[in-house]
Amino acid sequence: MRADERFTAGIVIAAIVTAVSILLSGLLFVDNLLASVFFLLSWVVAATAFLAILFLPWYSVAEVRAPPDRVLAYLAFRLRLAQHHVAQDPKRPVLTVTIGSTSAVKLRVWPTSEGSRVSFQPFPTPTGLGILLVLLILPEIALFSFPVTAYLFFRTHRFVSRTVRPLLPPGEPLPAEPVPDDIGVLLVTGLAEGHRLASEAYVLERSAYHDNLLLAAFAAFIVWALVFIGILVTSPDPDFGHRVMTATVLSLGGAITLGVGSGIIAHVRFRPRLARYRAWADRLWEAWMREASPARWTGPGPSAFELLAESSRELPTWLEVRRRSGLSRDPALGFLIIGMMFWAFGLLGGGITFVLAGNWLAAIAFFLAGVGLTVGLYLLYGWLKRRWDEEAGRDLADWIRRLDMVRSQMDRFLQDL
Amino acid sequence: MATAPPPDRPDLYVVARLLERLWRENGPMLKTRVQVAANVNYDVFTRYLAWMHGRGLVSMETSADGHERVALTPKGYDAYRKLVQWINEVVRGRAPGP
Repeated sequence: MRADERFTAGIVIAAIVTAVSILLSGLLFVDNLLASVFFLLSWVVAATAFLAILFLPWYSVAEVRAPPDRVLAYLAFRLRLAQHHVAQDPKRPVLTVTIGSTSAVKLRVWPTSEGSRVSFQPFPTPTGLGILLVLLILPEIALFSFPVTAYLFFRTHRFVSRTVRPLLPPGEPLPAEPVPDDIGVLLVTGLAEGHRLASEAYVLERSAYHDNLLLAAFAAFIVWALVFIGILVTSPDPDFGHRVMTATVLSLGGAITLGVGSGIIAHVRFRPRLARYRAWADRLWEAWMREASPARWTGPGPSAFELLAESSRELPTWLEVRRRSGLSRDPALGFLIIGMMFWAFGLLGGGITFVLAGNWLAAIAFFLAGVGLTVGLYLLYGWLKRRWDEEAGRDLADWIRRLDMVRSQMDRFLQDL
Repeated sequence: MATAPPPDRPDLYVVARLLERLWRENGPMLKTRVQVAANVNYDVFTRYLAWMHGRGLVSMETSADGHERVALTPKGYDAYRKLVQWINEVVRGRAPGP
């Protein structure tokens, strides 16, 4: 067994032993009605510990005889050729490689006396993290996070073993590769990055569309409930059966009209944008794949340069989608806020229960905690929204500056030739 | 060689399209095939070809069968590389270099 395999096995054993120990400790509270909350809490703590122990360490991949910047450029290029989205951290020697909708992997390259050491860290995507957080927020379903965590961990390990490790000859120099400013490398890099941005805009917009449909369904449900209860309570009709029938027909009619109408409006509003982002993602994907496999250039195709130049004009729209997406852009944070809202409602509901039971001290404590959490949530969301808007504004200004600079440079370049 | 007057203000996309097609071919290419790739009419094509030839971006040769062929020069390769590098940096979110 290799040293890195022994390390991985050790971490897995440590995660399992820790989780099982915590779960067994929780069993101590199962018979005590007052302390039974600790039993459920032990599920959350065990699941969180399992996740943290598996996902926090950096696992060794290989030692390579080449400087870190070359290894990073080499890995980024080869992984983009293999049709993976690769994002490079501008401040650290780290690449984030997307494996699927729920999992990604971070690759870190550190200098050593012999060259570089490549290591990786499993990394859930925002969607993957969102799923895990939902499972961890609600203690009753926290145990379901174990298989999800194990699956994400296994998937990243399998990806590194099958895709990343074969690219790195251990203890040897890197295979000869085109230099970073080779035209082929630049086109693959630009098209892959363009596709990442376009597909991200499409996914965020689709998520916003689904949010709108959910909102329409929720509004329809509220209308149904209010109309049904309102008619049932206020109708002077002495026949109860007739009152129920009238309330059902009117409430369902109102709810369906509102729900279907709002759904159609959302569909009409979102469809053109969704189609445009999808078309851009498809065009860039096709060009990226053609560039990654030059043998596919069998006949005349769209110019890759032109496609990149045209897609750069679309970038403000894609950045705007990111700005508008808010919580959809960061599902983990979104789910956390939703979870906190549930807790706030729970605390306020508990306060009402204590008022009815005449326990004023507990009622005040619960109300204070509930109101405090609600105010905190409001302030947190406001702060986040301001931060997102500022970030998007900066991105847009940067992009406009870059495009202006490039356009004038290109024009000057052609004139000066 | 075409003797049409050069364009006053060359269109970036047309120049890039011609350079890209020649770069992909990796060798001399029939003029008619380059024109198809550029997607412009013959008159405009000959103007651009003359302009690019005048600036040393492409070279012209007549093969044994009497057909004129166009090839990318090292200067043409560098020019296309520079254009791709700039647009690539816009998309990737980095400030373009000199």
